[in-house]
Amino acid sequence: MGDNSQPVPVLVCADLRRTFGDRVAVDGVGFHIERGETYGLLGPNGAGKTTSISIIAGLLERDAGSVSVSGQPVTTTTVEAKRAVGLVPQELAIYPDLTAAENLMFFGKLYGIGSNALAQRVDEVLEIVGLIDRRDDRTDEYSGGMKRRLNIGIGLLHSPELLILDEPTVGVDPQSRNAILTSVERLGADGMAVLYTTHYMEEAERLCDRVGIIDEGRIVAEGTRRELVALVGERDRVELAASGDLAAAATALRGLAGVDDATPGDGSIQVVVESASARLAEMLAAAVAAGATVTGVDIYEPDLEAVFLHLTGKALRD
Amino acid sequence: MGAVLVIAAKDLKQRLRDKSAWIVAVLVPFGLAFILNASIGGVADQQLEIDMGIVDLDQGTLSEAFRGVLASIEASGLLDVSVVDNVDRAEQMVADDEIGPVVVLHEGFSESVTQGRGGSLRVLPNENRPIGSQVVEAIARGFAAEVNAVQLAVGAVAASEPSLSAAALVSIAERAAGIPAPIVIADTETADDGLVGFETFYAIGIAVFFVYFTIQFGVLSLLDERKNGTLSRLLAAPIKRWTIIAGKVAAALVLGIASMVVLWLTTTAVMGAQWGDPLGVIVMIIAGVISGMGVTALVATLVKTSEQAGGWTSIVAVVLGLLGGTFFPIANTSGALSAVSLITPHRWMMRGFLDLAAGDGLLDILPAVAAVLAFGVVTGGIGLARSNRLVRLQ
Repeated sequence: MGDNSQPVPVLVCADLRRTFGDRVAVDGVGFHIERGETYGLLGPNGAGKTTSISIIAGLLERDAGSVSVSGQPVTTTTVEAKRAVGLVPQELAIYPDLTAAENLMFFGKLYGIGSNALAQRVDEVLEIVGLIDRRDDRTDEYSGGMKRRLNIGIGLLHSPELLILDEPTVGVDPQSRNAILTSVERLGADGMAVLYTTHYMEEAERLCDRVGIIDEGRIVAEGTRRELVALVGERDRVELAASGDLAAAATALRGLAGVDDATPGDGSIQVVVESASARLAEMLAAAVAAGATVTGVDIYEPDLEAVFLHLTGKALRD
Repeated sequence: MGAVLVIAAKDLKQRLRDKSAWIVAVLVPFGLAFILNASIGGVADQQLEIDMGIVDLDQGTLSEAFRGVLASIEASGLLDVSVVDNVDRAEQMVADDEIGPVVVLHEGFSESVTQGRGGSLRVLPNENRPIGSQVVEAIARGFAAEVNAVQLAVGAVAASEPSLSAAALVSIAERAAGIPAPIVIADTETADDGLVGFETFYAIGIAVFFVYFTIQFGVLSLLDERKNGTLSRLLAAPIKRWTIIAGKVAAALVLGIASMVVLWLTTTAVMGAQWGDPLGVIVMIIAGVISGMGVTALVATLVKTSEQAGGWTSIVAVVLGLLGGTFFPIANTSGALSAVSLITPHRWMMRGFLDLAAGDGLLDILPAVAAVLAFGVVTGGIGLARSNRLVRLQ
């Protein structure tokens, strides 16, 4: 007897591996996404996010591993399983010499949506992405933000069970960015499974129910925000802008009570510490005594950036 | 099949909105054909009249015969013959460009030739009028050859029948002169390039030349899809990958055929070009477009970007077009160049179209159609075998 109460994941991928020549782009990536869940792949540029989702969407052959969407295996040659997937590529994927409506009609026909239903759905999507008033304008007349919104709209058009968004806010103005994030929140709330890649920590924190932290082709940690932050022990992160003997200063800092870690960098020392505000004076004194000249202090509450730093030893923006 | 039509329709819509496609497919070819016909064709159609002179110091039977030959040509309007008194005056007139070439028949020419001692016609060419000089020299050579033939015939009879009288030999000579030449040099290229008017030649040549450029828009749009990022959406869609290629091929086919049909109709209506049997023209157009798609597809699979592909397909189209005789009748050139041109689809397209224009029907041009299709099938087959690299991301 199987347990029918367990929800069936919309996406299951396991042990994905892909190399380009000698370079390993994806090395054993695996995760699953439930219906109505927004899953974030958080990692710096070149971490393997786009390669992973290209394999998941059936664009790119994999060397090893498996992908299934709603129980159907996905490869580059499968057809039916792709109906359940909506893709929003990182680069704009719209025809500039067609109108917004024509772009949507074209892709809607490729997904086999009937004419009457398609006409109605096109207007619905244009409403969702806020472009209904510009439906018949050529997209080369659109602003960058409008193009981004249409790019998302095309991915939504056929009401996929899984929507994959690859860094959809790159190069977008703050207003459009907020509109995009609001749309994604609504989609998740409406029951769609969303796979969202980003290297913006705040987007992942805002949108994602669970986050996979990816670096050098591997998922190094996965969980809810709370679970991930717990990995660094709910510690604060302190960045001391400093010069002088930073290595000696870091060693001295590591010897203080409450300090979990201190890592010298280029012009700064990253410190993971409990109750940073209470221990700040003691930390500054130790750093100066060890030969460092401190010129600035930033204190960060525990966040995904701190988690990433803790796990990989480097910042997300690197 | 539905996805193929959807992609083809989208591509055609994009092309119809692209002004450059209209310019390359219709406006430039038509304009170029019109200009070439108006300039080169206009010059060629003008009546050529050669102003020549003759110095007849012989006044004998052969000089009389030669003047008779000139008079008959003069009656056709090709020559305007003036009699010049002496050689010095003739040389001066030629030097001063007062007259074209002059033929000199020296004193005693007829007697010398008829008595078997030989003789010569002297042509004073006018360097300022090379065409007229060559024509007159050719007329003189033709006359000399005719006289030589008659003399040979009479000599042969006299040798076998020594008893014949002089009157009988004269009679034989007159009869020999009246017999048509048993061997003539036929038109070596028949209808390949020669028997159509300039307006037709240039209408066909330019249409054939530009169809490869028009087809580029269809085939190379696949590379544009990659460049513009839309290939990822096509690959993510629930369609087979071959349908993407098929859609592009269908669009290119329609575009190429439409472009040539428009040029066919407009050059016929505006320039008076005579393309010949419509059925044959349609078959030849389809074959030509298929060959262009094959060659372009092959080139597209050998490069990485649409810019590279556009450059290389343009180079290929220009070289094949020039070698194939789209701008000048290459079949009439030297053997080597003419032979090389046979490896181009354009040469076979030109042959097929010009044969149709000269009055041939569909059955007559089937070899040319087969040759053109062979180019398309071979190059397109290789291109198709390599096409997977066009419909993948990396």
